Amino acid sequence: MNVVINGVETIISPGSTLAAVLQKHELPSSYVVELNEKILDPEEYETQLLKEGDTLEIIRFVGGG
Amino acid sequence: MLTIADSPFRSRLFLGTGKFGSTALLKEAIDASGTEMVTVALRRVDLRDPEDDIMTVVNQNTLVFLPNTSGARNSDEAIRLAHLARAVSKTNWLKLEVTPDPRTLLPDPAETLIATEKLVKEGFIVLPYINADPILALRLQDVGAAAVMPLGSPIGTNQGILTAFQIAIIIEQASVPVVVDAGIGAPSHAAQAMEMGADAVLVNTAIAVSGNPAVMASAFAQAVRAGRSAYEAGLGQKSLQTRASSPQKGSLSEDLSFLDDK
Repeated sequence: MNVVINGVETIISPGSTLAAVLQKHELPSSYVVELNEKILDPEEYETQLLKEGDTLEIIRFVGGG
Repeated sequence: MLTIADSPFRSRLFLGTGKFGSTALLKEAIDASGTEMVTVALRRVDLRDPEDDIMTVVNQNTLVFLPNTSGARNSDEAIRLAHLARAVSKTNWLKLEVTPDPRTLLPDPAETLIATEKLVKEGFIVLPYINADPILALRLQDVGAAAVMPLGSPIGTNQGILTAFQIAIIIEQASVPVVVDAGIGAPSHAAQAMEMGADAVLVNTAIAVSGNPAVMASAFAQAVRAGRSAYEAGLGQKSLQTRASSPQKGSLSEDLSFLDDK
């Protein structure tokens, strides 16, 4: 099934949790995840199931002025 | 000592962390600057090309984190970024930037006022980036901004304090701290802002893109201290009338009678 992660159409296994999807990527020491424009608590990652068409944003701090 | 939202700052130099060639150079510049407040931006994680992690060199235990909302084009986008920033930083500090035009990056005053009012009500410590508009500064102060951040000149231009007249009015009127932000391209610009009575300056580009960011950060730290000391000591009045610095009495001889006080 298809979800959009950081603007990129991505195929994931049906029934995947958010945690399972996050584990596939090299992520910085701190970040925040928005699912369909709602910020998730890290405690929800293990139980949050993804569905077709979900939009994920994984956001971090970078250098900025 | 400078206090913003009940937090004391010994250093009046705030440092932007963008445009540094590496996280190592950023770390050196932070240390050399003596800063206690750094700005950071929010961006998507690049999932295909992991970058240096800025959080490995920016210590949240010793530095106040001031996340910005750069990229926001209106108040709704800025508020969304503010919520994301709070989720990552676990603090309420926020540099509010609303810049609809990527060509000038000038801030939108109406959207900035709307977002400030909403975010203050949500408990954010809001430091809005604004054009050097004294009336807007007062409006923002009225809705609870913790400080105001008027621009010296547009972001990244290194043009210095082109808005000196308006910034002087803001400083005179504001009851919240005034942090001159953007366009400060040289230590002399920072010193000028501090001599005028600015409470702090925020510098990024001029340090980050210099040939030696750590040395430049130190130069800015010295300039900020010098400017602040000059402000506290009190600068002399400007005058169009010349006034001799040397004594006018006791000339050396008749031949030097032109030295006599007329």
